[in-house]
Amino acid sequence: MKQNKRWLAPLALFCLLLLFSGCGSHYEPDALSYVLLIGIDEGTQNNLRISFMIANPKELAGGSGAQNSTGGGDEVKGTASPVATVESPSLYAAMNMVNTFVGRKISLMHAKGIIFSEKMARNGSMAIFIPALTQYRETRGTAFLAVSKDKPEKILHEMKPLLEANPAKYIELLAATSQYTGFIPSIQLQEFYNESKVEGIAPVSILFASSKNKPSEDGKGSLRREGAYVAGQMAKRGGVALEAMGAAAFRDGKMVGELNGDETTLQAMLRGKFKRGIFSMEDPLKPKNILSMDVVSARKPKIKVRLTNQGAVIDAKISLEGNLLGATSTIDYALPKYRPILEKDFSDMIKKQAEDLIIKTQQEYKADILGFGTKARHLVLTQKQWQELKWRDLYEQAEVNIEVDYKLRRTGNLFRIMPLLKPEQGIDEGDNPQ
Amino acid sequence: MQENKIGETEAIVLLTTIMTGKIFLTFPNTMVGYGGNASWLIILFSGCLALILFSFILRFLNKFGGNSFPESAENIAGPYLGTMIVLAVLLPWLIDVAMTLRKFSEMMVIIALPETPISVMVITFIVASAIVAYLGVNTISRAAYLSFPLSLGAVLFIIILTYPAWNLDWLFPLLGKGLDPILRYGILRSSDYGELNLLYAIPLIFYSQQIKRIGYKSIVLTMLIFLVVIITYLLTFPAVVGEEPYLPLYMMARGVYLGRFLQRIEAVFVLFWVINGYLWISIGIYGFCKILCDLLRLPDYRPLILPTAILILAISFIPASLPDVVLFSIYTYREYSFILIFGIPALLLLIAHLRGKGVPAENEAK
Repeated sequence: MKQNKRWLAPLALFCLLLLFSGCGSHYEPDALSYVLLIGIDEGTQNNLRISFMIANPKELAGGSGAQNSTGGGDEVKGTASPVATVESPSLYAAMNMVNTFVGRKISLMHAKGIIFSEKMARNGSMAIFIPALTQYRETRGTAFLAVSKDKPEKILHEMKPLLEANPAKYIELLAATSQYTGFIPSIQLQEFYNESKVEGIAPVSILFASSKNKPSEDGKGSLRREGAYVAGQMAKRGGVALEAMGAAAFRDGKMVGELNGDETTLQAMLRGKFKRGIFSMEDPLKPKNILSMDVVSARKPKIKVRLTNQGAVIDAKISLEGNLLGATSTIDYALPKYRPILEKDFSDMIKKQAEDLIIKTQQEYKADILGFGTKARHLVLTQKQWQELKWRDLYEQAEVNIEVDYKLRRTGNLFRIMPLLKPEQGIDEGDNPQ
Repeated sequence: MQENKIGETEAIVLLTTIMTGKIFLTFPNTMVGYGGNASWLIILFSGCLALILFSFILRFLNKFGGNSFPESAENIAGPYLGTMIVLAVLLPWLIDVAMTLRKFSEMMVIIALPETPISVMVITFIVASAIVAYLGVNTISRAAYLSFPLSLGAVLFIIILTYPAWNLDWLFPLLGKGLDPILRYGILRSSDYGELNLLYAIPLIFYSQQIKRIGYKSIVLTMLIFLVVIITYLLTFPAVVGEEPYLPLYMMARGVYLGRFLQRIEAVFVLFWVINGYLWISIGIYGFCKILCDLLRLPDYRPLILPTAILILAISFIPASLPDVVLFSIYTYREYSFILIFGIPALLLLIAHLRGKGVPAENEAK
């Protein structure tokens, strides 16, 4: 018996070696070109115009390159992250076509994001495309999804990191800004796909645009909240020549509107995705002054949906807490007599913004991008009952009650704020009228 | 030839390993397809039903557990009917092993080796599994014993890492597609515990006094693993999307994204997935050869391994495509095999009762 078993060990080892070798499916990393970003637009000579931003291994290894150039040339070689664009009948056909001149096999395994043109988003062809993206084994559901107000090809050309040698890192960090600005939604391909197929929630995507508005050299500006912009509207100079700001709202697979930074933040708050962001507002006690607060989510929003004879009633409570970063008024908001005034004023501001956004989603978009419908699913027992409820009709007429609970937890580094010296107003050194 | 026996813990782990092997394949999406948001209720119902149906197996083994299955069948039903009953176990067994071999190989092509010919995958799987089957049930059960905590740990690891994607709302409406599919598929999918037929088809590898504990514990453990996987799967994907993928657990692993430094963990999944596949196919080949050996009254099962492997290899290539394999093995075999798996011991008990066969109740194994 023992003699018979001797040949088994080498045979088993041989079989294992077959597995370890990866058989015929292996590619050396230096035989592949890894796509970092995909831009998808309607074509002029074929169905689609597909752009690929390809990782340049030499640059990732720390070599020099033209990474900070702001030009948008069409050349494939010689840039930090070359962009290749082809017109093709499909995404996968485009990969094959790019293979004819890039020299390394195109791979989507490391694609970090997918950017569609606004035209495709608005006419619904973007939503048609999404299932094909999730079906392909190389694309990952964790890639971010964005709509571009400019041609995606242009966005890819402008995607030139200022501080990162590694564009993949830049792209991931850019998408992650949602966690500390709230100005863009945190949305991945799989999430968008899920929400496109579920009744009770409508998807949103990140909004991209190239920078167009440069600050003028003269004139006097007026207060405009930082979140009042959408991509492409910010007055800026320098940095990367593109903006990720706001969101695109979808209904039945078609883009139906844009959310600015504030509205996107509100959407995240009501969806329970908001983490933190900086808010500026007029000082409630000295309106000409501006104060800024770092606001964090205290807990997930409490959302309850009820059905009454009049229709659906939604009660939503948002809990926030914050840290005063700086106030030009020098009002001492650490004092109990001032703090509630600020807390109430901020709560009222958020409440008003949320109510405006809800009306917009009910009347203009007719899409439940806030996901109240997912809570309404609790009201029924079966899928059939849920279908019969016709949530989208209920949502358009729903009464929504918003409650915002805001607590100022900290006042930056300063416990007390002494007034500035103004002897003509009777404020001398050491006087504190507060 | 002296029978090798395996201990209670090894037996529980072996049965649980092969019963839960489905979670690596199409099991979660199939269940979600049946019950929608309520697919976890189907698991609960089918598990409880399996516990009840196992009592038939237990009663059968109490009366006839001292002999091999072909001996018992022939003793109860006579040589002709008995042989046919054994074949009724053997043939579906063979087809199930062949389809599982094809599924594991096809899935390997989908997720890891897309340009490798399916024949290479199938042959690699069958050769290694045949070698393991040749080494015997002790080797298989010990391998299962060693790999089980690691496999379970890997599955739990993947599941826990999907936590950021969980959405409790996806579990609602609570009854999903309704009570009717829950009850209907709860009954049909008791087939998911079909590997319990090892207990009566090759009873001599188990210690008879441990079989009751082995059966109940492995069913409960399997049901718990199924429940955890299905509930977390439903938390991760809404039901309407959950029924789409071929490999739900793999999709969950691909969805893990905890910042830039913790992602792409599906490679962990592939390793344990392959180990589980090998164990499943190995015990399948071993079981088939052992029953056939007992039926043909051969002294040793091992000469049967090579022809069995060739047969399984050939059958595995009958379906033209992966969808065909899934449609056959999930929607045809798995929905009705419970009738054979739990029905055969019940049928034999009935025939034995009618013919007055079996040991008296006071001698029953406890």
